[in-house]
Amino acid sequence: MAEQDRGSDDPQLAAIARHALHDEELIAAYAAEDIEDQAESARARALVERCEPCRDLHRDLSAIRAATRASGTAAQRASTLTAPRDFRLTAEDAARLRPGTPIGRIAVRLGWRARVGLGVAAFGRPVGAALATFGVVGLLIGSLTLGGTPLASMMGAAGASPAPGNDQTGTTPESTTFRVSLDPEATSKDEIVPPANQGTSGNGASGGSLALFAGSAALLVLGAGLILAARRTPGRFSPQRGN
Amino acid sequence: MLDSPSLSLAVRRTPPTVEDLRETTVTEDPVQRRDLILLQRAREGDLDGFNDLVVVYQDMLFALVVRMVPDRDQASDAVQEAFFSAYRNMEGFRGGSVRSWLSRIAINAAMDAQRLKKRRPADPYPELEDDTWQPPADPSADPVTTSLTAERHRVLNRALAQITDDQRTAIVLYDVEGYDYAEIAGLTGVSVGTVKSRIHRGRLAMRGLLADRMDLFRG
Repeated sequence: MAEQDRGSDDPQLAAIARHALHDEELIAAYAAEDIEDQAESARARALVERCEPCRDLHRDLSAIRAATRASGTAAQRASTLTAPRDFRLTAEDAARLRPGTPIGRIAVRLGWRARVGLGVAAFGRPVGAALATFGVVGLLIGSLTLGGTPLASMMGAAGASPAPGNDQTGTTPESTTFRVSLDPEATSKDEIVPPANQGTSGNGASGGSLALFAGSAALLVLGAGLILAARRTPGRFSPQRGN
Repeated sequence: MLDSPSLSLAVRRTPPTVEDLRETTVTEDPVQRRDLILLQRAREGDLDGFNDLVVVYQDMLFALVVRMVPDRDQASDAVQEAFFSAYRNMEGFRGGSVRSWLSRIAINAAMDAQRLKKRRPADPYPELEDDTWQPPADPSADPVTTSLTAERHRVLNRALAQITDDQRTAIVLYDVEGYDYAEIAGLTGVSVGTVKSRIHRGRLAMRGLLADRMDLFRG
């Protein structure tokens, strides 16, 4: 008897075991008539024809799809479903949302804002991406040079400190010769000047780096803002069915 | 407000040739013509014009959003935010259907609400008390059929509320509202393949949730 029961269960168990290997998403796509590839479609059809659980799945998914489609569009449901509040805007809301300066109002009248909006929607992403890229590059360069102009300070440090192995008390013939050749009448007073000049040029470079840094940050923000503005600009979409 | 004589006159009149609406073809559809007139009035600073649009579309947008965000309070907030956004961005309207434009803004607001919800996953959606709408029944249908239809609708809504936000959004927009795959991909910012996958997986998940009630759907 037990043998007989096991014998009757075996085909079912085997079918379930086989079905576990079947791709349910493929059946779902087939039920939705979404398979473009002929071979995939044939595979799905074969599964539905030969595997009972796949056939049940296909039938259930088609039924769910049909029931969902019949569940009423928003426009249909609106005839009986009332919004729980009144969404009309108050004058305060309006003032808060569109403060509008006199110039802004004139721009609205002349349609400038709409044109700017169209421009942003059309070119916002590429222009924004380009600006953001320049900004990032500028920031990188700026951050390299902002910390006290490393190149200049490295050179300065090399000139000021003795090279390894050099005797500090010894003379530096090359540099002396160079200075003499540049300015034969240099006095001891003149010797104080170069460090001061060096400092001034360092400050200038640092100021330049700071400006580069700030400008790059502004470009980055502007670029990101343009990309976001382009993303948020509403486009045209119209339902095809049901509305 | 909407059945005021001035408005009905305005609807019957040829829409004014306004520079901002040049892209919009002069439509014979009185609803679309009315919407364009109201929107133009709103753009010119007439708040009542915008509020007339709100009155016309608030129920529809709520019905749309509450399917995507099955919590009436959150759905209300999303619809309110959508109207704020529409008012703020009226200049961004580039012609076409005002209803589609508002729907798209509402869908974006609903997806924002879903994202907000994702940050607080501890609070599940409450059961949607939205059984007021029933699919139109055949007048000659017997009470048993009518009752079965209502029950099917109720369990379907409950299952829909339990699948993931992404899957529900895709199914509602495709199966219920009739957007095509490309439009949904554009709205949700994913590829067409992802949209299809979400719809298929969503239906599979619904089938799992409806396992013990599938008899209602099997004709």
